[in-house]
Amino acid sequence: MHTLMIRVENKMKKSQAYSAYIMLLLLVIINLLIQGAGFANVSTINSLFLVNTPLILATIAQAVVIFCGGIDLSIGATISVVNAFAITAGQYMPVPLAWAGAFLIAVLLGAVKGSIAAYLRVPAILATFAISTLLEGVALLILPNPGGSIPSSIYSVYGGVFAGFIPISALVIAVVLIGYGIVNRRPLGAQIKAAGANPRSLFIAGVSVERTKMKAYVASGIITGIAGLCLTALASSGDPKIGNALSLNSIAATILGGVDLSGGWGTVGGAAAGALFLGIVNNIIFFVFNNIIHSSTFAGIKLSYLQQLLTNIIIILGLSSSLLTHLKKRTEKEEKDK
Amino acid sequence: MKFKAMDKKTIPGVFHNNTFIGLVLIAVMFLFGLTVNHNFLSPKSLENIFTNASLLAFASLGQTLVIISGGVDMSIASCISFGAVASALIMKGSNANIPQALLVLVITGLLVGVVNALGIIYANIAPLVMTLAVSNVLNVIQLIICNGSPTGSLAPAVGFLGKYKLVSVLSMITFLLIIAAIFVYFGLKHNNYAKQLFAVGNNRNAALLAGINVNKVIVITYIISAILGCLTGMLLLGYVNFPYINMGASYGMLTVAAVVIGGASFAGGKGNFLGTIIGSLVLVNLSNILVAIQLNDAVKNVINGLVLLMILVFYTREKAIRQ
Repeated sequence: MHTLMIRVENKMKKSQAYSAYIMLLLLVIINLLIQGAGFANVSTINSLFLVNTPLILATIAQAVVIFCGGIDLSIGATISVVNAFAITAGQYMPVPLAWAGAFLIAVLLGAVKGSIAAYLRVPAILATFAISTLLEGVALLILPNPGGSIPSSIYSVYGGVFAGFIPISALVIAVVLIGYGIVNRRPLGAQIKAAGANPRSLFIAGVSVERTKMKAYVASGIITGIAGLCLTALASSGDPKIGNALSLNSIAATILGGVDLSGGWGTVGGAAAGALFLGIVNNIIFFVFNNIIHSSTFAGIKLSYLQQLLTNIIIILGLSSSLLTHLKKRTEKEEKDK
Repeated sequence: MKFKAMDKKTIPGVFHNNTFIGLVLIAVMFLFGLTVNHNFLSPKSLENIFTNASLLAFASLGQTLVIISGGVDMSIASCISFGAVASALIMKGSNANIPQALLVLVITGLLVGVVNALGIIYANIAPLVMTLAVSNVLNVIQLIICNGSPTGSLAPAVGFLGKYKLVSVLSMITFLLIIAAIFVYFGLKHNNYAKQLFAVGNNRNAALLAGINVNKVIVITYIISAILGCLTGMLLLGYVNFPYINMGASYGMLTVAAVVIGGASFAGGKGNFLGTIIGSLVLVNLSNILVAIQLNDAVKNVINGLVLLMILVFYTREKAIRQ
């Protein structure tokens, strides 16, 4: 048992997302201390995953793009479009068809972003920012006002539990992680990271940098599509602005997960851990505000505003945690140099 | 190599002058506007266009400096919103309260600028991401100070600045902008800070080696940008007359687009305020035409995004790896 723990610890230390896993572990312990053992039952864990699956998937999608040296500020708006389309089209055609269409739109948008960033060589951060404005408008065009509904069976499946203790939403995340894990074991995984870390070397090695980046953006589009459908299943209704905040949140979560914004460094598992970290922080804030402060205002300020403020400040702190990643990267480089 | 036609040598030089392209665009839009609406060029409509463009240019002045330094500031929109709401709250319709309002705006701008710069310099966060995150915080603070519904009203002096017309097409705001433009023009030419700013934007390492305190220049730039944003909020309040939540939200994208149309480079080290003013005119014209043909906000969003995307494709393409 002892040797096994040491082996696990060594493997984790080698991981590029070491800091993310440690931070997540500490936070879970803190959460257990605050909320008591009641936190560790099936329904609480299920609702934690249920609520955070869209963010976790959006973060994985963001991480894949960041690996290849890009960034996607339009993930949130893409998710809004997916949600708006799935709800609106669901009124005119069979729901599975509408959802498949919404998913395809996300994949297509991934390809569009990829071609603008890779083939037209517009800096990804600016291009996706412009696309995000565009898509926010498109979502409003598809669904001008919040509303609509989905068959309740979808929600009950998404909110369900598999084999008594595994949330279905966690299974979705696992499938995505395993899927990208398979990609990562193949040459493409290394190529995507090389496109971010050292595109010139990749080019000299005879691999098309543009095509590699394109594949990364399409992969990200696929994951974004799944995230959008999960969010639709969670909300059970449409809102043209539903995902907009996810762009920035996913970047903060990616950085928290030990992924380097300059590309070529990090793991999708770390990114998911970073997103879960943000989710649990919000969970703690929510718990404290609802169970410890027993009024709707605090020092004359509406609690909902205070909650928003805290969440936004935590995102800035999350962004600042890139310092940790740089530290880890440097120590690893020094060890290699020895 | 499909885009070889974009190569600098194959196009006559004048088409590479953004000021020229901007003026042509304005002329085309005036003509198009006339076909849509016969009153498009009446003095009243022109005064409206000039005033709106001047407000945008004021907001974009800080953005120009930030983009010259090689960054980008997305917190300007939230500074404008905050500036409008906070100054209405403090002024309460009396001239005597203007100094306090100005003080609060300047201090807020200072804080926002410092936080932006610290994140960018020390935590190595991309400027766009950092300033977006800060702008979210400032937007919530705006909600908190007025508890969700803006109260208070503007002081008569601010209303005078915002609404007084000097001559038929020349409003007070436009006049202020002209003065600011002259000031900035000579300031950017003969000023130590300006020289350092361009050096930092052109090549940060070279600037560092030349003994420039790069971090100081960046901090100052973001502070100027945020303070100007807050003050523009006050001016906007004077023009619109009453405060509302997220008043400046639409300015965020527009300032960036105005600066880039004005000939600044996203890589830094290039740009001027005159170009930004022309860029502002182009964008305000565009939005007026969109209003004239009665499009809703969603379509405007789509068109704004498309315009920015086109600008980016034309102006900010990176070099291919094999070159």
